[in-house]
Amino acid sequence: MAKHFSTPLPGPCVGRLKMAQVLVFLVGAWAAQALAQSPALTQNPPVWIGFDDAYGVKTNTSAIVSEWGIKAAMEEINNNGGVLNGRPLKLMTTDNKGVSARGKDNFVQLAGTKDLVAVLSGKYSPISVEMLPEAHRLNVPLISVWGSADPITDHDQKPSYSFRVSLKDDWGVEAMMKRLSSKYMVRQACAILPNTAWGRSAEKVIQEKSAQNTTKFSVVRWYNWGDASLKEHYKACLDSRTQGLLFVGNEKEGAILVKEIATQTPPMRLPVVAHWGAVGGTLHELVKEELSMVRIDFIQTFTFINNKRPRAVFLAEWILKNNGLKSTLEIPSPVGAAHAYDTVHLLAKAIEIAQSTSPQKVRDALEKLPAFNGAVRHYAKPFTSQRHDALDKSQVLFVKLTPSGQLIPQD
Amino acid sequence: MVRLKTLKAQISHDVFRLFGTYIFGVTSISMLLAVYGIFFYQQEEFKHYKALVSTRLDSEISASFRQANDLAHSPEVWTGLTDSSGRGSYLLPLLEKANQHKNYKFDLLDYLGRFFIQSDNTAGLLLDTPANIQKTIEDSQTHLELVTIDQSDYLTVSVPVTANFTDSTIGMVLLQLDLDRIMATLNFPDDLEVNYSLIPFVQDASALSKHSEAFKFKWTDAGHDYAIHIQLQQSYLSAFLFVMTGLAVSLAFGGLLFIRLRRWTRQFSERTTQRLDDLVQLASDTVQGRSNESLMDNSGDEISKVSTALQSMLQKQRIATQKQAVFSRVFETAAEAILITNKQGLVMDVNAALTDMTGYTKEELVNQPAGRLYIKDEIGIDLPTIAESVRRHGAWRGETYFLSKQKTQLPVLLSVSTLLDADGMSQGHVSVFSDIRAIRDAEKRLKDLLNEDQLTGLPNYRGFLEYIQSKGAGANFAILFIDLDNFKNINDTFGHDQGDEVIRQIAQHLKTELPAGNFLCRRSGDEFIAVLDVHQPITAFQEKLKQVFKSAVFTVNHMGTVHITATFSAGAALFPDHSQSIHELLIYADTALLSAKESGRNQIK
Repeated sequence: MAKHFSTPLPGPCVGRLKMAQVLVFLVGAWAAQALAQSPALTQNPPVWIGFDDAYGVKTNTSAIVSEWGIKAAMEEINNNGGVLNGRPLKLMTTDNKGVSARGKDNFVQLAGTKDLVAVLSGKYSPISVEMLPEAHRLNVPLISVWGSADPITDHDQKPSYSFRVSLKDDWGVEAMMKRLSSKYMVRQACAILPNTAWGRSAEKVIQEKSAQNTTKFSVVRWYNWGDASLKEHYKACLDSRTQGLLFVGNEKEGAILVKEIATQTPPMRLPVVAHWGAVGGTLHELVKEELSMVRIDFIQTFTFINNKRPRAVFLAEWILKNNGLKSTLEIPSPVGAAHAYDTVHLLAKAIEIAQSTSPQKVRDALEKLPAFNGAVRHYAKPFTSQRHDALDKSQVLFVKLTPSGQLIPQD
Repeated sequence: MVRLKTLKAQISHDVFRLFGTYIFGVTSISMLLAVYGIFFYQQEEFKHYKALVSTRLDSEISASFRQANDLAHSPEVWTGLTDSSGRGSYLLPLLEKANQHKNYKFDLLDYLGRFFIQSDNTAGLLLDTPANIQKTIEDSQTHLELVTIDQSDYLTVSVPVTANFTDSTIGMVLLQLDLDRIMATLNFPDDLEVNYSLIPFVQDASALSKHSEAFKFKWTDAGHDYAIHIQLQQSYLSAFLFVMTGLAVSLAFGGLLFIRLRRWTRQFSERTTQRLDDLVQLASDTVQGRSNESLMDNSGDEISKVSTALQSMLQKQRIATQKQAVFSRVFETAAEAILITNKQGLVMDVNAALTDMTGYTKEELVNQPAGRLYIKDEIGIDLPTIAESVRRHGAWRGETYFLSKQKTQLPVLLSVSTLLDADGMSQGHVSVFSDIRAIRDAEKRLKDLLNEDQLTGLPNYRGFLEYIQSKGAGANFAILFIDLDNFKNINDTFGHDQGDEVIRQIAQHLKTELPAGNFLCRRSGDEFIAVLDVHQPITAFQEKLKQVFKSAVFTVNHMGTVHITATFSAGAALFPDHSQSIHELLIYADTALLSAKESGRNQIK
């Protein structure tokens, strides 16, 4: 089982970054931490935060980018004296390779680590859902920094050990529906969903919210990971004379869809509002040519572009500094970095409130956090006992993907 | 080998030896044929079994592997392995559809080989993480393992699930082929064991009681070669029981036959023994002259024929024996000596008369040449002569001499005849001897009486004539006629009895006085004739005679003893000087006597 420690950083997590960038990043990260942390801090026992994501999925960028956000926050906190009177925060990562069982095992492994206060889960919603029973069995907080499926926080476990600093389909998918309606004037829409907990979560929202919206989803199609083509589904959408497409999926399926739409004649190219999974990876590299031929918007909760929020600026600078990037436009999967960054800060505060590394106490403290001005938003009250989602629909924005991988906010 | 004494024992011995040999032979051949047949049958059966197993497994494995690969490459499965709650809605129908086949089942395992979703395939839950799953975890390749669950053999196949969105194994499809169930469809015999192994089977000692054949079953899937070793074993027990049952039945029948045969043997031998006893008794009675009709065997079989033939033979024998006894008694008691010789001339038998006659014992004669009894000189008849006669005429009869043990000549009357057998061939000879010594003695005595003077015991004139004729022509002798002078006076004086006495004394006197070698006979009355060999000149001879014929004194008893002096007158004639004719010589001598008488007596002329 893969087990990654923040110092030094693991090799397999680099995704599709160029090797040169990785080397710069590695050296930079080590140097920054080594210089920043005081000798006294390094002698105190660390307080661990776990992070599990699909490092092993080649096209996934969410894992490494989320890790940047975590590390940026940790560095910031540790430079300010750490937590619990000088104990440094440290990151322990695991690779679920996109497989539910691995994620679950990783959670169990991380939760068993001494002085680990919480586990952050990454891109794949089903894996977060799979971790839920273990989080509640082991009483270790699970905080999703990317997953959007409603069941991650909407479940019957009391007290709930799952939190989310991310998009929630409940309002995210609704926003996508509205985007189809408002931007593309779609009345009859089609949904192509993955046959997973994520897709089912989205479908549930579609079904629930259709009545309230002008856009009607007459066609809902399901696909499986690894399907070589979505043609049939797209054809079904066209056959039903739908005008727009709501797509839930990741970069691989997104690439297939974009390519297949691009093969259609322009009138047959339906506008697509896509979930952000597709831009959690290297979609732009998979569909360089076709991208411009398809009208496709991606939902986001954060962008570095024109973002003046101090922590967002700090985070962008940290990432650029530590990863050899020149522009915030080059930062892939920005939501992962921002969510993770804010989450670590929220956790640090919870640790301070709990004055303990006890996961239960940290969980309790999370519900009692004071306001925090994060990179994504100002959290007036990040979590409550009734609400474990730190974001809401006010964070929703839609972006376009450029062939170079930049996510440009759209009206 | 110990000779069995009783007929029953002999029959039993022979019958049971034959019977035993037969049973042993038949049983051995039957056993060999049965064993070979079973071995051959099992070999053929096993070929058939192997073909069936291979065909069936090939079909099942191909189908199940194809389906396992379909599952492993199914996006639904891929999705399921990345999915969470709710995945059962599509995975369970998928597995349920895949698990329609009763001979093999599929399970979906996670990347560490744990059951990812609980299907209705409960058998899989009993698996204790087969080694192949671990291997698949390690190298992401398909691996096989043979496991036993509740005494059922399963081939478990772990097929890695590798999705196109990741390099690593995200899970695996576990295929469980229920080998026993597959084999059950082949309707093999209950005692046929089918064993499976991933490594070649090693023949162990326990397999000796079983017919065992192993083979490697290979197949290819997705460019990889796979194989399992299959061993078919069938206990020899059923075949052994079959053979033993056959043997037992055979032995039971053999035993029954044995009992029947023993009873028959006993009865047959007792019956036969009784019949033979009767036959012996009958023979004994017949020999002894008793007749016992109750012992007659009239059954008509071989023993009956033997009985009849034996009885007839014994009756003839009895008659012959009686005759022989008579003949033997005749032979033994005959007064005549009987000698039986064989063709070689050796003595076969002699009777008591012969031994008495010859002084030999029977033992000294038997097997000895008969010729020793015959005298081979001029007295007896020449033996070859007799033999020649017998050869020519079959018999010879005549007088001859035998030689007793004491070398005494025995005059016998011999009758030789050839002893012929039933075919007329000579078996030897029978010689009958009659002792004729008494006859010869009587003849001699009679002859003596004819030539002897009864008063003096001297030869008489007949004796003189026989004697003188026996003299050869070359002899030189003298005949003397002697006469007592005046003998008539003596008779007249003292009577004839005293005269005879005087004559006896004179005869004695002359016999004594005459030269040795003389022949003296009484002619008649007081006349004597003497024959004297002359070996000296006539004068000396005459002188000598003068000394002989001196006067002599004789005594007579006549009223006391009376001495009488007497003188002799003699006339002599010389042969051949006086005549060569006896008759003339007698006349000459008689003349000379008369001359002497006339010359005054007491002189020789």
